[in-house]
Amino acid sequence: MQELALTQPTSAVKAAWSGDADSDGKAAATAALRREFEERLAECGPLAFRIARGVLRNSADAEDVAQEALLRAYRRFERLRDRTRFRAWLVRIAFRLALDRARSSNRRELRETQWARQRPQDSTEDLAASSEFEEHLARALNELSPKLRLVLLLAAMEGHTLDEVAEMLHLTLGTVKSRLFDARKKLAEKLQCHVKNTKPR
Amino acid sequence: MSCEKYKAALIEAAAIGEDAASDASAAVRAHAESCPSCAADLAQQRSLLAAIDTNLARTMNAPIPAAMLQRFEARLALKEPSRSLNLSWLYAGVALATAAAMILFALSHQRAHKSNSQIATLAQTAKSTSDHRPEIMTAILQPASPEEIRRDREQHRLPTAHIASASTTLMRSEPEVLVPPDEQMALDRFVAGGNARREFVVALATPVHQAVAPSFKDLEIPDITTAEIVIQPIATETRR
Repeated sequence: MQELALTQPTSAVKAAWSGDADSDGKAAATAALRREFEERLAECGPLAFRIARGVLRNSADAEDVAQEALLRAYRRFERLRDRTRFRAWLVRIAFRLALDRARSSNRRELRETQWARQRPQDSTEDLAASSEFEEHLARALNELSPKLRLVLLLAAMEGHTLDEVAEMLHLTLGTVKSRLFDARKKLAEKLQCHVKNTKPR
Repeated sequence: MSCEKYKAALIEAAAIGEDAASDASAAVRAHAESCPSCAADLAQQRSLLAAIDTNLARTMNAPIPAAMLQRFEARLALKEPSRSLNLSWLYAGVALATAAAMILFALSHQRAHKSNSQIATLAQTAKSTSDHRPEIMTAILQPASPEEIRRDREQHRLPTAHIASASTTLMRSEPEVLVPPDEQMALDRFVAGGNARREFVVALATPVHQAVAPSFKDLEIPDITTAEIVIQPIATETRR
């Protein structure tokens, strides 16, 4: 039979009772989480920016959206079970946020487009044709469905093969190729007015 | 013209790319090799798609703003995650409290609406019964005037607080308790009987400690007088 000994609580127990140990552990976990997030930041931050820029076609807005996406990702990083899926997760967050921003600022963009149309163009005809082409292309991109658009944007990004895009979006390679083909074909159909004006570069 | 059937497939052939193997695109390409017009159209479609790809690539590979990550880290330092978590809990609590308040308000509103409809139903019932018994209902529904209250107070010397509470009860526009119509009729009859014998009701309503103790007259009990007792032997009957 064991004897019972009366002992004084140690400082660790006192700290546990007072909640200091919990707070220390929580702070350490938060710091570790932050370090892990920052390790991924250098690689994934530009990805979020580029996705946002592909949707918004504006660097300032794209940076706002990218920062918002990174902030959201950081806040929910603890809840992400499979950390290897971080890139795909961030891409989807940035893409959704960029789409929301594009919808909300649609009227403002229309105003700016009208102002840009009225602005006198002193540059060459090629530049005017190019800006008009970009405008039409942006409009055609906005009319694409999100799933086609996301594949198209990711495939246009340097350093992303179709295999990587498929892995990132949890799709098969055939689905990615099919969506990419559909997206390009629809864009070409919507931009047929530029067929005579475009020249191979 | 034989080229017409290839016109629609030209975009597909251009979009699918030269590397991809497709029967349709192969047929279009084979036709374009022998048809200068379709070859020119195919080249234009390819140049259009090349322009699209070039534009997309330029957009997607634009240089990253130099200090974007530094700005984000500074923003991250300003917003502590624990604080944001606390705020999220705070927002959730406020939302929950608001929802609870809205539910309570809706329930109370619904209950008030229901009681109003019940009162209206009872009022209609009472009105229909008062048509048959006008003298009873008018006696009950009329509130007591201050003169009547004062008169009752003087006559029966009821306590002021008791009369005040009775008068406020009588003068209230809304009934205190909702009762079924049959019970209401029984109550009406009881109150009408009480009105007929008001003194009896007042005596019942008077608290016991304030009731006047009955005064008894001294009883005069006369002494008990007994008549003289004469004891006589039983007359013996004639012996046999």
